[in-house]
Amino acid sequence: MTDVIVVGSGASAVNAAYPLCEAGLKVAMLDFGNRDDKYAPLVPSKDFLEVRRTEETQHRYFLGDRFEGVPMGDIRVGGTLTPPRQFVVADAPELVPTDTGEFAPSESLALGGLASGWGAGVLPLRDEDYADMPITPADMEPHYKIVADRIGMSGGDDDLRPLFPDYGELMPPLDLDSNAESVLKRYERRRGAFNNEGFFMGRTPLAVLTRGHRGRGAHQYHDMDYWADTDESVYRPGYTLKELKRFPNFSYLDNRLVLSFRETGDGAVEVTAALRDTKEIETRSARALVLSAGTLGSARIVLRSLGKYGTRVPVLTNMYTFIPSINLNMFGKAPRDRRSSHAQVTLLYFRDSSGRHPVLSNFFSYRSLLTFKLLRESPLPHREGLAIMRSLLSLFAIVTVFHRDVPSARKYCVLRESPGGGPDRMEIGYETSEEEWRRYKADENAVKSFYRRLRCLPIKTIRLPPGSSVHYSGTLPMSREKRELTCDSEGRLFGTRAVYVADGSVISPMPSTVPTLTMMAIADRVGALLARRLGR
Amino acid sequence: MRREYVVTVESESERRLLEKEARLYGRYLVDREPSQEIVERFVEACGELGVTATLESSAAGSGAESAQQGAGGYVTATAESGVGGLRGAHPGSRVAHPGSSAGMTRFCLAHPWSLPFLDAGCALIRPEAALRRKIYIMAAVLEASTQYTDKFLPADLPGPAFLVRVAVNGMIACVKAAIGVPLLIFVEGRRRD
Repeated sequence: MTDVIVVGSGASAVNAAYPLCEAGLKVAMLDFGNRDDKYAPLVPSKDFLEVRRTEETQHRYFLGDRFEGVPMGDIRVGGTLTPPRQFVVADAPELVPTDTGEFAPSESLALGGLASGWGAGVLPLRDEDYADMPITPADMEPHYKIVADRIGMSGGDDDLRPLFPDYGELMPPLDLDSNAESVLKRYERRRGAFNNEGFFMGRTPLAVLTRGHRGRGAHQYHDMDYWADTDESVYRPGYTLKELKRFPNFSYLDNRLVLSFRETGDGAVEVTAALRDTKEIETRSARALVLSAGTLGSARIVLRSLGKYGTRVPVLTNMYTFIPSINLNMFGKAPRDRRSSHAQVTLLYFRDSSGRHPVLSNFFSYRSLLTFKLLRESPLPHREGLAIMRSLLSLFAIVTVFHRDVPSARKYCVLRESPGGGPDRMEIGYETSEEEWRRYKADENAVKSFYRRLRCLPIKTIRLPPGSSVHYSGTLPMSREKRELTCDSEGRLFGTRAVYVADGSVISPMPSTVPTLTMMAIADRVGALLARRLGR
Repeated sequence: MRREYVVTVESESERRLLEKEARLYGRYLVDREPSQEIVERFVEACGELGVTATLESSAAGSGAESAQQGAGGYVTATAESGVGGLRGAHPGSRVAHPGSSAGMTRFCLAHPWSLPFLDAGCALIRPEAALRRKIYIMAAVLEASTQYTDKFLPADLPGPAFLVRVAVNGMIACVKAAIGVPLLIFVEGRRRD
């Protein structure tokens, strides 16, 4: 019999599977496994400008064969989900449908999950983030370090580092582009004053290699990061999956949509999945099950398996705002062409003297997502708009802001059986309280004021609908209390013998500091503890 | 990724009309006639994205578009999107019906001098007009081609030249809008008559 079935192949799933495989346990990973075979082979390993000037087929991946890369809608979600990245969310609306109001969920049935389009920001939880969880920073530290080595991370030894517990070795940071460099320099000149006011800025820690690591290469500064992973420097779960496939005790079974589980009398967990092509139902058994199907996906499987239709579980998301800005420090200067598309610098803002729960803001330069998309944002005729945009591009920056989220009765999801016999539908309700809105606005104003003092002028504030950050957590939270639809400190689902949850579902509250690294570290911990429990 | 747009380029006459438009918009944006390849790509894009000539023509008078049109003059687009960033259609987002600026395109084709003014007028008071959408689509098609890419790359100018460029283009935009808004109202009124 299989020892452990792992559901999913995203950032959490592969990191949960790794310690299980290392322990010699027989692991089967069940996954739907969508991938992009159409566009990825077309994108050459060349610099952005060279691609633009020489590649005759560029329209295929820049615009898409069905022009899916030409956004016509009015809600600014998914700009980084370029045609070559759209496989990340393919099939999800049909196979795992959601009914939402304002909430804009993204789910993935792709190999590598949502992290196949991840922006690669890596920060751990701060000590205060553990207050409501039954685990401690000391429990997590070794797992952060293991994951840091597994995925490869880079970052600066700067003002951000002391704000977090030790979370592993960082390679030297990526080179800054001219735009971010000018802002960081200005911050450094007045660092003391800014720190006293609660502003701390440094290089964005990223899961991007700046030197060779585990068979992958260093970043090549092609500025094509939204379009392809040609140098494999940006971490994608597919790389760990490749490593897992080298274990003789690991099997990857794709084309399966896991529906439910059932614990049987003989101590096994039976997992039911629908096969992609035939829609036949397949059943497999294992000694234990690890659910890493994503925060919404794992919740869906648990609610269906336990027959908890109509029961509310919490859902959390980082509210997300972006602030297009003009960086006057770049006025009259020609930027360097050598650059990456990633977040360049990160700001943490602590609103009060308690030094807890900072707001996180990232700074991006804009070039490789193409100029025409900006024309739709401009109230100018296209011709003059284009001339002005081209002149401003080198000064243009996008400042993003992520807010912390805490559970409330008005943030929930519920699984509903489809009356017509189709797939169950997840209904999501999400309302932000007046007080939360006030805090978000106050924090955004503080961030904007900070950037103004760095001579970077915000020109617009665009608050995206909840869910747009694509960071979700807290549906099956780790809890000190033993109660239904929560997990214990090892990730075991309450009321089950051997069903574990190892993804964002267990994290609550949701820190502002982007939960992906923590999800991976928690998954590694769940896998390691389970390996010990299963006794090999 | 799923797109369910209700319109495609169906007839030869519609295609020919879109080809004419492509040449007009191409000249407007990059000062030269776009290649046939670009013209064809524009026509294909308009079909895929549901911004076609037929819909506009029918909206101009026959009312035949109503079968394709949702309540309130909107078409529902179902382009899916996700990972955070700049933009993209949100599932179920409502996209202004291209027919809302019906007739404007034909006016532009008949009077090419009017295009910059109508574009400027629409930018202020009809930002979702089909005319704006088509010029935007043409910009996308031109940008993603080797021949015209330099027209879309950052233009890094020394300080004074930068200021002059921004100021001059800003002023031109204002003048065009001042002429374009009344012209747009005239064209729309003419259509109703």
